[in-house]
Amino acid sequence: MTEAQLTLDGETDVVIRRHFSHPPARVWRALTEPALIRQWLSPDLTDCQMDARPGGSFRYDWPEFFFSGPILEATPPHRMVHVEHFNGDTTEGPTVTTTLSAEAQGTRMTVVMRYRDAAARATAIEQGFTDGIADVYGRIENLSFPA
Amino acid sequence: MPSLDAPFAALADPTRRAILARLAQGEATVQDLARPFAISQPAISRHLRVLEEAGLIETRIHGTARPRRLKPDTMAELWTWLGHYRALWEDQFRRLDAVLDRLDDTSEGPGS
Repeated sequence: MTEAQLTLDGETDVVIRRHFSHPPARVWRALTEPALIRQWLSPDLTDCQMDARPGGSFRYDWPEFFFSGPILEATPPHRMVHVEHFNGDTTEGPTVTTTLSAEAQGTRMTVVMRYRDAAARATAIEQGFTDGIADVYGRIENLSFPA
Repeated sequence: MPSLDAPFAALADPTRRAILARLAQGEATVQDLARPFAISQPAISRHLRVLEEAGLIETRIHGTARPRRLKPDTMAELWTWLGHYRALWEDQFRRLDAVLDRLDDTSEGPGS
């Protein structure tokens, strides 16, 4: 069973866990090489930059918004810590710790998104869902759905 | 859209999650709820107030008793939101699975 598990941990954390049937080195490449990130992150991505080194940064662009931020730690192929700002607002955004560990000929990925407080976390979950829905249905005209 | 800040914040506390787990088995009075916990009844009452203000539970008035029970709508809404959020991640991860499968077919390491 490889489906992603999502848990709310304490007041501020969202934790995602997922198993991949490939070793950490390969998962690391897919998470950090722009040409590969483009293939899975979103079909609507318009630009993708990632410099996965301590002191580096990333930026993912969609037609109407972008995520960007500094890379705080990068230890290939096991651990990366970055901050994720929305539309350049550096006062907000979670610190994201991604851990890859070898597990049964594959990889256990754990992503811990730590928000400033419980309210910031709730907003992010709502926003993430709203954006996702907009992403999927945005191209279908005349469709109404509850906001 | 109704804000979920309050319910998510209310769920952050392990005692409040335990209270909800107990109420999932059926309504209960403050005394019932306080019994399994090593904290005072006033402390339980404070937790109940947070849960009620967050819309997660409600008080039923039954004579002089005030049993608490889950308010299913808010709970269902929370799970729905989280379920959709998780599904978005899972969509991404399935595309990532496919990228990893294709990487298998290429030589290990791009030399870049």
